[in-house]
Amino acid sequence: MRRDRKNPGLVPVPEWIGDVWTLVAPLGLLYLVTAIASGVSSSARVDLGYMLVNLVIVVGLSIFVSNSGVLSFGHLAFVAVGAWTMSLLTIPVEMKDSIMPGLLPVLRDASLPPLVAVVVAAVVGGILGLIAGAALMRLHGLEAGIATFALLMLVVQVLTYSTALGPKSGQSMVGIPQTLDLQAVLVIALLMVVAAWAYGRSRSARFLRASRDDITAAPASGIDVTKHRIIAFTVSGAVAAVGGALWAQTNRVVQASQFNLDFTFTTIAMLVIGGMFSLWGAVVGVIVVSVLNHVLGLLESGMQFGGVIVSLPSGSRLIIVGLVLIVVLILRPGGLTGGREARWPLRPRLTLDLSPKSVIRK
Amino acid sequence: MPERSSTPEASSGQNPILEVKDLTVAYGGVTAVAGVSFQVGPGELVGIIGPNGAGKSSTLLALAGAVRAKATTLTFDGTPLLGRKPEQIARSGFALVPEGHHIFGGLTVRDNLRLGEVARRGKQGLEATREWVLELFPILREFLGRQAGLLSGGQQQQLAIARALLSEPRLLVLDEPSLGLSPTAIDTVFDAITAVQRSGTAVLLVEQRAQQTVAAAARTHVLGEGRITMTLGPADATDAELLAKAYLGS
Amino acid sequence: MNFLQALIDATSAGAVYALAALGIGLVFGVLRLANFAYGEIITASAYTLVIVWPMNPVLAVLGAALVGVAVALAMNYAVFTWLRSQSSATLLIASFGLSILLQRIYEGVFGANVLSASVAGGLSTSIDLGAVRLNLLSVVTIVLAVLLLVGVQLFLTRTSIGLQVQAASADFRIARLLGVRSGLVIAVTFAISGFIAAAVAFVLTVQSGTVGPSFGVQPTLFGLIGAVIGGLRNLRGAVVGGFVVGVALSLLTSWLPPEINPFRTAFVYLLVIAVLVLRPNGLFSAGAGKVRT
Repeated sequence: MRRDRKNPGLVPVPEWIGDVWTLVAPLGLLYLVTAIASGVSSSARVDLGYMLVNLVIVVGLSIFVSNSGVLSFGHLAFVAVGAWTMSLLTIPVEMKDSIMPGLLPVLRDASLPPLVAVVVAAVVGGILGLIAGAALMRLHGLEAGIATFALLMLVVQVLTYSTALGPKSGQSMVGIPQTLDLQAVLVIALLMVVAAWAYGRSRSARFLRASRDDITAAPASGIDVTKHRIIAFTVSGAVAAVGGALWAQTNRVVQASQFNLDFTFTTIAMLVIGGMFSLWGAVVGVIVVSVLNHVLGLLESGMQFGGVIVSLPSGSRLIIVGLVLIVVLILRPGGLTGGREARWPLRPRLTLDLSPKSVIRK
Repeated sequence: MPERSSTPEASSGQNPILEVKDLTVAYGGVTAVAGVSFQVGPGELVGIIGPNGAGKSSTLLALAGAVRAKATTLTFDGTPLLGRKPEQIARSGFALVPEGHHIFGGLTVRDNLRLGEVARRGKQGLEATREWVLELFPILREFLGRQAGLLSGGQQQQLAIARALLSEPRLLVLDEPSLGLSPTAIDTVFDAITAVQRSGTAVLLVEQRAQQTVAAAARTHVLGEGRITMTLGPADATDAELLAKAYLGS
Repeated sequence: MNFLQALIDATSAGAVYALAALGIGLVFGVLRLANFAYGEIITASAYTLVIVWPMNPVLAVLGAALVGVAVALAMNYAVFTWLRSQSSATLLIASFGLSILLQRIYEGVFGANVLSASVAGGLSTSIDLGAVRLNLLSVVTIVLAVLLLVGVQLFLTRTSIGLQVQAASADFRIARLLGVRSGLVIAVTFAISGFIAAAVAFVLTVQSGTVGPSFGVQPTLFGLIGAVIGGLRNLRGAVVGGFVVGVALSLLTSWLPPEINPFRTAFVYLLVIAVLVLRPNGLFSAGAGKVRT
């Protein structure tokens, strides 16, 4: 049980309020940012769409990274698979015939409503996560990082060159209808945050976090770390694939080469800047980097400050995000949130909770 | 703090080579060393004994600059140690042989010894030191070309001490050199330590083997729960009851 | 005869990645940093070669070496010095950020398009040895790699600083207690890795004659992957791992039937995954090593 350090006699708010707050805070912040940004300008609305998509991707990434403590450089594999699923299921058949003549008949004929396609993307991502997880989840540290990255490159190579699954190499899939509006994307993003939160509270996730904190003690205590990592990888892959599906219908042009190091870097930077080890960190990181990106984008196209036009050279966005990432790692390695979940902000703490149940729990 | 009458005081008249006053070491919120004070005079052998977790290793690591510490005075040869890097301290003539010897198992015995010379100030007298060290530990001369990881535990400990001596330290600090060694190996190590001290090098010896340490040292401080609880002189080495009490804590 | 040619080309491709793995592995040894931004050191040297070579070849080679060392040292002092106490995951992420950042800076300075110049054009000729035609560059690459490997080996075993690098790689804490200067050892290691990067840049620019902002990414990626599957904690393993990756890539290119040849890189990645799954501590580790997270 947590006690207020400054007032040791005072017990903090009932634990359930603190718990619920860890969900309400990210949802509320996300909703607030969306409400504000959608009223600012049309360019802000475009960037907002990408922000929500990135949010889903990064929340997916954080489901695995924050609970297992293992770094993944390969989550764009799931994003790519999700984007592919969405594209193949929603591009009209005639269009598919002209840009992807070699497509497998099943894929050529498959066509589903966008929302269903998103669900299918999640399933495909989950299956990939399960298979890849079963192979890779015994690895630790750097080896795990390289293995997940190899997974991404493998998927990208296959999607680039296989004409049975997509267009010829170097060509892109177009004609993806943008049927989900900002509202719908926001709802899906909020749902994914809820899903990540719910997963984080599951027994499996708690076991995994125990292993994260002490990798040598967990196996000794009978926790099957590999099994729980596979579960996390699967859930995380499914959510990241949903992000990929949303990305496809937001970007509307999909090509395997887009799932590259820059994109990987952007998602990892968001997660790390916010704080690698919490859902709150993922949400804060995506919002901070997206806002920064938007402002830098405006500066790149030239902005007036009291008579002086400030114009950054194009490409400075990633330079600055890279700098911010390095500075955060040096000054605050736990990220902006310090790796903690959102904490109930009001002081003094609300009530005295002396019920025995609250003491025994956990 | 019960002081024994038989306890000799720190060699008066000369400035101590190591002076420690109110040393405190804390990891996170846990205090490992809580205000320890002692001195080592030039050429003296001073012992520290105490059970596991008494703060012995933390004290030594703090002296060597390997962990953060606080103290009202902490000087080696008149210069303050706090805030200096381990390598600077090592190069000023302070050699620590840490617990568990930690030789470089992948390198040859010769290369391990060469690494001991890193902290020397210049090459003057190097050949003589090498010769002296190999006389002290003749077994190492036989195995110069051998991979150090293949030596026995006792040989590795000898290598670790020899390596430290090659820097020609003015203070040799040893953390439980007898740990895990066979009785004959322990005797070799203790003989070497007394030989080093007789050659004029000050020695700070941290041990669990109370009797041997108390017998060899000018003073032996008993450490318990981060504090010095008792100080013994060589005459106390035969007082089994006292030694037992020192360990169990009065 | 065709076989021999393919074998020499494969050896030379392996040599390039072995060098990259050596440069990465050296720094990893002392700092536990898998430096993803190693590629940007290579790129900096490659730009120097391509820009300066047409004016003065000798100056270009010296300049490339100097730039490689300088960029490596700058990385150390500007970024990694401040992160020394962090985990190796944090260091890897920081180097990833640094890599992307530098690529964009190169793009801003030199443009997004590639610059080209014929660097050491004489080396791209072939020599006829009766039945076999040898690509001169392949031979030069192999010789260069062998020289550097031997040089590094001699440095590590025969010099005092080299010995200190070895000690710091084995146990940094103990090395410092012996008086090994941490800052110096790290700086020396970075400098050598920068010099090796310049050698990699030389070979690759002679090969392609062009350089762009992301020039160094591919060799670094394969060098790093090779080093990891060979076992990063063991420099020899890392170098052999890099070599194996290079040879595999080259042989797959020459031998895969045309219809699946585009998938050669996919095969290499599949191989990487297989090796990591079967030998998690690296191909050449002695049994169960310590688990690091």
